[in-house]
Amino acid sequence: MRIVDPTSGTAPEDTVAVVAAADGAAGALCGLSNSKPGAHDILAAIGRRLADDHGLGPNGLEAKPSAAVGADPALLDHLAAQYRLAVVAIGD
Amino acid sequence: MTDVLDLPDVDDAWAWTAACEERGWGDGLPTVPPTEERVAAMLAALPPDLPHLGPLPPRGVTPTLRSVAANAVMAGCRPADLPVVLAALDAVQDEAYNLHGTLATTHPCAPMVLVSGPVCDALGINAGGNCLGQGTRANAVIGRALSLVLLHVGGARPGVLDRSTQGSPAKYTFCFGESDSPWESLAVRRGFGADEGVVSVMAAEPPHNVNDHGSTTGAEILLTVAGTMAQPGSNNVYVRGPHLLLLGPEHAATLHRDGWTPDTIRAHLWEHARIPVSHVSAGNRRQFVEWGVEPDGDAYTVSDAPENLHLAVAGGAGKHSAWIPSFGGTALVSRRVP
Amino acid sequence: MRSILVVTSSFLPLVQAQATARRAEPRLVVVDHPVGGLSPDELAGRTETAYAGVVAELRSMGELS
Repeated sequence: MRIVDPTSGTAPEDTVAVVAAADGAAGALCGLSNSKPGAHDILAAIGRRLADDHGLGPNGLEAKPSAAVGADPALLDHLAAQYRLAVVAIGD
Repeated sequence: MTDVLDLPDVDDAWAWTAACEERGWGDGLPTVPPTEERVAAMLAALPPDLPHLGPLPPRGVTPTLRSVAANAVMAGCRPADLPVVLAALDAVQDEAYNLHGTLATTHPCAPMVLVSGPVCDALGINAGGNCLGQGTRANAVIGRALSLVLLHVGGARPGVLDRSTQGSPAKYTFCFGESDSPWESLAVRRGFGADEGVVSVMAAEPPHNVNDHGSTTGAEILLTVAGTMAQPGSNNVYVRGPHLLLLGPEHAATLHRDGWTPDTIRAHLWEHARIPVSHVSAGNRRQFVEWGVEPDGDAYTVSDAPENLHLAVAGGAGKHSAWIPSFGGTALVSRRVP
Repeated sequence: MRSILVVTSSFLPLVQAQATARRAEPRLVVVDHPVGGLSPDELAGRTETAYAGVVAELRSMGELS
């Protein structure tokens, strides 16, 4: 028997890349926390230890305003323009 | 790309149920096979001016009318129910509803669908006794169809993309009607005409009962309501956002008799539904601060403004009402039924 | 911008499914679940795992020697 696939639809478009950092980016690495307890602490510690152990810096730390909502695209673009690398804490 | 699958033995209920399980389809309850004929019958009854549907998170696939109709068939809908399902689907796609967050969260929220206007009588949507419970086809299948679309097209499968810690029974279906009210209906207060069919959606917890058989005045009833709302385990305390007071008609009648209006009720509850700081753990207080939430004196408010408490009337005889908190990072979004 | 995602084991399926939907192949560092509600010692263990994973990823990316 022929049925209509209940999962069918139009496939998503390719992911749009955020703005890349210029060569003269202000920072090396930025942590981005999902605002859940613990995530901020872990990212802060990673940033400190990368600077202390490997001289990687300067490092920043940002957070979503709330774990209940997605990150503001403007924040992502801002971070992408300011830093070469990001460590993102998601899902806890 | 075809959206038609040729499956054997679909007309055998057990074989169909097994086929659904193999594919990860369904909510655990038996479904109706969405044959091409049934889907065509659904689509044939649709009115013009249908909402534009966008991609559904988390999977990012955009549903077609055919796939929405297929899910409506699976849920047990009649063709006349489909416009309400489409309006609800359109409403949850409003950015303010935060569909992605509400589907992937550990919170147990479900897409609540409150239907207002003449469409309730036309479709037999229960706004009376046991309206939040079982026993009415329209309530059961409309809410279920929306959940199935989000599951099948959106990909919000429990344990994978739906990360709810415990979930809730409301995730099966959470649809009810708004009954006649001593005040203007919620839909009219939100700018719709009294003759329009309207759905209002919110990512909500299941209802929290407010039992008050003893109070004889509106003020006394609100004291009980305020006490029910003042609980520290709600997302609304620190994520803030909307919540709904669903008054039973007898409580509403008493409040109306005593001169209360929706605006004075929510202003009163804003002042009196307070959570003593002593009822909140030190760890939670620290987290609330990180989220920008501080106590107002020696107590926390429930949400961040009286306007975030919405009010409607539904139910049958009896001295019960319900408070329905939300995910917090969501909104009550209303759409006209096409 | 190149990135590394730190996820807990319980949320790995969600992240992987999201990545598939977006046709992305993120660099993942997985730590035990949860990271919230832990004692300082427990959190230190998660931090150690996360840091070691991030360092390994940065080395594979040529950012650290």
